[in-house]
Amino acid sequence: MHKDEVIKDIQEIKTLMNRSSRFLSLSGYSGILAGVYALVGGFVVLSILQNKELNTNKIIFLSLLIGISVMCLSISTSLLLNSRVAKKNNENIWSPTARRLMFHFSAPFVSGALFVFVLLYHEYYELLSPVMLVFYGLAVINASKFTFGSTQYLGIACLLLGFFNLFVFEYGVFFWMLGFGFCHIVYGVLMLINQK
Amino acid sequence: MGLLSGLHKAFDHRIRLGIMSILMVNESVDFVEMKKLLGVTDGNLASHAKTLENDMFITVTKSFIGKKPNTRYSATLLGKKQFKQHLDALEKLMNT
Repeated sequence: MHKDEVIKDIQEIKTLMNRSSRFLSLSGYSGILAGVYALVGGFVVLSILQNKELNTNKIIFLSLLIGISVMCLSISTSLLLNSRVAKKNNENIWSPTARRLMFHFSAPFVSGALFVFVLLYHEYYELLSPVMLVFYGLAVINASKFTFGSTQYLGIACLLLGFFNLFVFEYGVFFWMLGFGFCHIVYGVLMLINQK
Repeated sequence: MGLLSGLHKAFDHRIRLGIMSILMVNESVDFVEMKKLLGVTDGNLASHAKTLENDMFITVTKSFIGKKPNTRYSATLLGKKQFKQHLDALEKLMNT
């Protein structure tokens, strides 16, 4: 067997293994936009916190509203942009690989969302940002097995930020903006550079 | 043990190599999905799958989803073991 044939075989094997088990139609722009939404939302929350006239309940309620809006915007933008990339790759955003990715991302993500609601119920407000970062980081690390492996670094970054946040509660919003904002923008840009 | 001994004749064809590769990393894959991943015709896929089935490297499960027939492929333990040996042999060849 010629060495070139061997190399070609091995490449073909690797490509098929990846294409059949990983959903690779992700758009770098969705990461960048999600990061921008998070930064904007974070700045709004910071300015709300400066406002001395609002009581704690109102602050929490508004911050929650902003957080949920950022999340919904990010998810819908990501679905929109990724389905466009998928169509270009002759892939389907509801294909078995895509659904597997969504399931493995959702398990820790939904758990984290429920955990956050329970924290709100118990009024453990300092834990909100760390818990969001930790569960989201876990969700991304889990999902990385079913899409680009490099995604795990985004997950690890959020996970670490979440843990550091546990020791400096006062900077919760900053850590949140670092993880959901800055890290996502960096990741999105790196992804675009890689794809070019 | 010679360099060529790990290679298996059954995998010496692009489509059979492809079928095994896909089944190494997926529990089971249906006919339509397999056809799309490999970019081959119905008849081509069926005949190569038959060869692998005869070698007992894969199982072919036919069922019905409502009224539509559905065929799913899975790798057997034997198939996975043989394919892994084939891969190891290929990598050894690449490093010479």
